[in-house]
Amino acid sequence: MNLFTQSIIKLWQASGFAALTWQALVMILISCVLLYLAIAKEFEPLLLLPLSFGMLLANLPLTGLMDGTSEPGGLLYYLYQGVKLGIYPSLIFLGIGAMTDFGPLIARPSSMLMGAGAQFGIAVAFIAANLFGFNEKAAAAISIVGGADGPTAIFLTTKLAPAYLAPIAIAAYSYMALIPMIQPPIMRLLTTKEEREIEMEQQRPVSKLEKICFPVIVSVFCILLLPSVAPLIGMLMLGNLFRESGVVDRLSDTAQNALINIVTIFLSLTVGATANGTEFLKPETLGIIALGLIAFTFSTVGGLLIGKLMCWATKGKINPLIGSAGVSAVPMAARVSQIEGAKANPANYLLMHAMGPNVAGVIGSAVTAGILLALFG
Amino acid sequence: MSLSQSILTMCFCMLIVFIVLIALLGVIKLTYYVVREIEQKGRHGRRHNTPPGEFFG
Repeated sequence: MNLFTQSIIKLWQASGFAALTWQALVMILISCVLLYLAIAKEFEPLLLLPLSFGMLLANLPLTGLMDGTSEPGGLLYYLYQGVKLGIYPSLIFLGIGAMTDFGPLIARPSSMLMGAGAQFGIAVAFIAANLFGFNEKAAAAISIVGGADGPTAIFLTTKLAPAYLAPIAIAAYSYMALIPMIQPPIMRLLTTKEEREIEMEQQRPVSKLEKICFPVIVSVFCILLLPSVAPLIGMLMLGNLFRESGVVDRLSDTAQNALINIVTIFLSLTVGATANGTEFLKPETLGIIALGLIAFTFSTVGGLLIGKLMCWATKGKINPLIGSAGVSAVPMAARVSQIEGAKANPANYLLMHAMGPNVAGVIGSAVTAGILLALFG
Repeated sequence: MSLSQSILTMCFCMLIVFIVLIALLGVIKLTYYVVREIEQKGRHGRRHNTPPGEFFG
């Protein structure tokens, strides 16, 4: 009987239950809430589901999944090396490039201005983060949430402030999922009904040669100017060249489907796994979430203000609502511009016009990340 | 980093972002004109080099 009791006690002590801490329990609860949001509310489920499950796995004690100190290390530790070395964000950009039609941007290059204006939130969040007491590297990593670009945020954070990777990635993807709730009130506040009703002229057709030249020219120009953005811009433009060249359909198909799906699993699973209870449950995490919202709000404001400026400069030919699509979340932000435009004027069709600033925002946030990396890396 | 330093840094950063993207805007416009010229020349070239019926008429 005594032997049986001792065996039970030993079994209990060797189990994860005995090693559970309150932090781990809270993290398991948080991951369950995130799983609920992903499955029941469909908030960015492709990212949030593996991310929250990674968080759940990493907080179950004694698994050693993220342990890199012992030999061999845990499964998630090895998968995480792709995040740590900046491989996954770049591969995701390859897929995004293969999925993106830069035609609306080529047809109206002035959309670049709205893409630049929508980086304003990064500047505001950086200053605010500094005021909150974060050092400049952490502030730069937190502020990039305003770029509304998950892979760029992860890329920059792993280089500048890897300790904050989990809260920054969660903030970035959460706010991207909440774009339809965050942006419309700001859009209505900063524009008049007359501005929202503006119908835009159809864009000129873009030739195939232009579309093929675009990725080559952007790569050469941007990478020569900012070599640190080479992994992101280079992969984005390579993916786009796959798409536009029309001679490597198999590669284009793989990049925009199988590859991006595989990398998304690894990236989100391992980013979630970095959310360790003892590291995550700190007041700084709440600060990062709040700063992310500030960044996102001011990026929308910046894009809209440039949109209004362009509306004024073109004597009402540009609907300022497309400015808010300068935050790069593709194509969600462009869809929000379309919905708000259609609410003001049901005959309004802004989607393709908003795609210009939207894809300009992808380039803009990658360029901003490159500048921050050059300044603080 | 003090508040004034961080404001100055971000002004500088945003200035570079705008300069880079405006320069990119210029490059895209330039590409449009070059491509248009190439395509127009291409069309003219074909018309002059292979007038219909020249070889088989």
